[in-house]
Amino acid sequence: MFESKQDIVGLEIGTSKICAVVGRLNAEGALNIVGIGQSTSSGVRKGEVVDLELVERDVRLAISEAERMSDTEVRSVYLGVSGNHINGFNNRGVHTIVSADRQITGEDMDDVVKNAKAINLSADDHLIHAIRQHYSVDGQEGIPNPDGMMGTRLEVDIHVVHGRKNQLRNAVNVVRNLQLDVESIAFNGLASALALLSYEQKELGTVVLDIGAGTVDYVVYANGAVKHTGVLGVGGDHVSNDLAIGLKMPLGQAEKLKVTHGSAYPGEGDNERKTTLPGTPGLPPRTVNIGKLKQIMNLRLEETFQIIAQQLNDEGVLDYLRAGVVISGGSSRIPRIKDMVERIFQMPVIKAVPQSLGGASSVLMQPEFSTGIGLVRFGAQQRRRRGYEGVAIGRSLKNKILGLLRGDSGRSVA
Amino acid sequence: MSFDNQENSKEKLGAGRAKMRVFGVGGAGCNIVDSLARIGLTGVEFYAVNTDACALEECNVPNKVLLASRVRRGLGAGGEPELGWAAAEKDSAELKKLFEGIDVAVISAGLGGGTGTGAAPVLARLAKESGALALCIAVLPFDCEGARRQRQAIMGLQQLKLVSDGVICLKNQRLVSVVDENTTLAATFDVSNKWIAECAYGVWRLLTRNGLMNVDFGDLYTVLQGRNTESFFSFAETHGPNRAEEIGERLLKNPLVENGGLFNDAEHALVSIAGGQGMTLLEVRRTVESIQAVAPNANIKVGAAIDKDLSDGLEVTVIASRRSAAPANENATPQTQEEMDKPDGFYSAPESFDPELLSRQTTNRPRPRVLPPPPELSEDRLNEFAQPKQHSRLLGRSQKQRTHQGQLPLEIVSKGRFEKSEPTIFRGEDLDLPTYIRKGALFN
Repeated sequence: MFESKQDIVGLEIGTSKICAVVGRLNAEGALNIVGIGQSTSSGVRKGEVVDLELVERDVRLAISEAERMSDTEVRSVYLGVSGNHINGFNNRGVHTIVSADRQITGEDMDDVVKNAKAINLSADDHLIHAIRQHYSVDGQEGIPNPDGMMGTRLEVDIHVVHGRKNQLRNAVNVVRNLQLDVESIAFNGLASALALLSYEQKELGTVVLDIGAGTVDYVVYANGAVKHTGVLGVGGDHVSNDLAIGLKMPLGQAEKLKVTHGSAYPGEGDNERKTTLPGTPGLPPRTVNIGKLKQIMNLRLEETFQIIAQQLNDEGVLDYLRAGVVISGGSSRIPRIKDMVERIFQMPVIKAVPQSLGGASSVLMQPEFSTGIGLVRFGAQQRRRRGYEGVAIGRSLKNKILGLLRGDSGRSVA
Repeated sequence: MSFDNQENSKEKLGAGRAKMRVFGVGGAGCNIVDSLARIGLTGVEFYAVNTDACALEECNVPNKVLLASRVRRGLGAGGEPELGWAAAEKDSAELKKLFEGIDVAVISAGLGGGTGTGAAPVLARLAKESGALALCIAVLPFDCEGARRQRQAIMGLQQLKLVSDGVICLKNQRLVSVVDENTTLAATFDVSNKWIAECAYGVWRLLTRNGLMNVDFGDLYTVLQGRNTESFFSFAETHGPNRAEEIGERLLKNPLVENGGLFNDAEHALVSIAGGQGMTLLEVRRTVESIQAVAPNANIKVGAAIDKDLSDGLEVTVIASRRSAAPANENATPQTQEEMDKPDGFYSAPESFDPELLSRQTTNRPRPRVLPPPPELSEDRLNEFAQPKQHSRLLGRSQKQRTHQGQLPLEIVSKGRFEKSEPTIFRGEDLDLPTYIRKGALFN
């Protein structure tokens, strides 16, 4: 088998599907997607691993499919994580320039970030990302790179994403049990944003809603930096579950109905429309009212988006979103969901598909793959940065070993 | 029916001092009356009613009534509520005379046994039939007294709630945590009796004093209504210049309210404040605030009255209620029309004593929160329902009472796929529950 060190594998352990994406850097350093593997996920609830054995089986399937397609052997992955336990907040670090000439050096910039990262997380919490937003020099805000500038007081804003240690470890252990390395973990929402947003959108201010099966991951970009991140543990699964309870049918059947007949808003005359389902053996076929189905979906989806809008409003970031909302993820396929988000957020909404990567594009232009592809991008950025660091500081190997629990990522992510 | 009755009686109460008689039914009831009689309430007459001649003999109450003396020969009801009921029904003509010309009948009974459980509802009914307000003080047995006794007690309590205007229900089990373990049995029961006597005294003051901010029986009724409410009670008296500061502390110190802990989930609270002529608004406010601080969810009704005898004293009575965690089948409310119309001893007045109630286990399936549409009835069935019932008078009354006692069932709705996962809670709402259920959406 062909093996290349240049391969970057993103692994997303999602609630409905597990997806492994293999990316390869070509000679010019451009990223191509060369393989993709998928399997149905059965051991994950609301983005968190609940059954290690099942997840292990599903991951193995997805990875081997990706290996076959890309003709490579997967050794290590960039693992995407999600779940209601993941949270984000902003922090600020301060550093006084002591050198005689008052010129800010790279060392000062490292120090100030270190200060900002000194956060009191509880013992159960693990820091996933600490993302630099902007520097400020002597009170002047919004400086992207102060290297070489003059000043006495250097400050930096960072955005911290953290999650519960045990839940994160579960996901990592599944991958480790398969004799795979986890190079780094990344928050799924951030990965999606990497795959979906253009430079302009980040500068103008956008919120990405990755509406998955188990969770809605959201990331707010403003002025080119991550402003807020969060997870709401409600997703497409909840819609199916509501339908299963409301229409009194098995979950699988409800899921199918959701895909074939679902919509975010009931249409005209839906109350009179009915669909017949083949009954289980021994029982007569069932008739389901389309209007009722859509009403149940409507209530759930509307509530979910309202909660997210409220949370963004509480954080005070709604006014930054000049480029509107970008929705992605499997559940963004629900018909008329765009209208609903537009109505609730009162701003333009784009249904996005991952872009600007070479490779099997027609297969990849699906909202479900935004996280997987984003993880590959995240990996490529990490590599580029590490490679650089490796040359400069010579701790590439150490990085690789400690990479997982350090969870460092920096400007390159933003 | 109760409401009309109440209005009339309120006027009567307003006109002058209400005439009140306190009845103790059964062994426990007689003991309570005994202790009350020793306190001595002005303008109140005490009666002891029992089937057991010996127990009645020992009671120091001037008026004694032996039930069914010829049938039972004064041997008691032997823990059988049916016998207690039958004994009271048999002598109902004589018993009824006891209620003539009075405004309020306080009936105290220990539930779970024979006479108290069986006869107290009959007395309450007779009191109401004679135009008096029937207020019951019921004591539930200790847990160690056995499941059957508990079940009898719960059943008796429900019968009482159906026929009386208000039931203050106190759990003896609560005493276990209050008294220390070396206390003798006699002393424990003394505590229980004293506690109930205090309660009756509080009610007496509440109803007899004409307040500046008035509290009447209607307010008491609001606090006590509901099939499953557990009431609790605190009483305190202070003197001196710091009386308002002290009173809140004293009220909450009472072990019967678990140092104020019980107030936390109180739904209704009735605060009756009585003070000397010097009582200020600030003092009233302080007192109420101290209750409000511990009972944030309660609907608090405040009454204040001036009592010249109190000079520099301040007396506060708090009666509060909360929904208790009773067995699931007690939560069930009649919901379908059919069930409402069924002349079942459970939901209608106890025209006959239904022994089936005793064997009724907690088999009632919890009802779905979203009500199914009523069953379609044929013409014949509709006519059948429209026919006047055999016990139309009693049914009419009990039906109206039912409308007061409706409450939302508390059963848990299935979460399907998310049953066993950690719930997603957002501002106190469990998002795993289907939205349409939480929002109460009804579909055609």
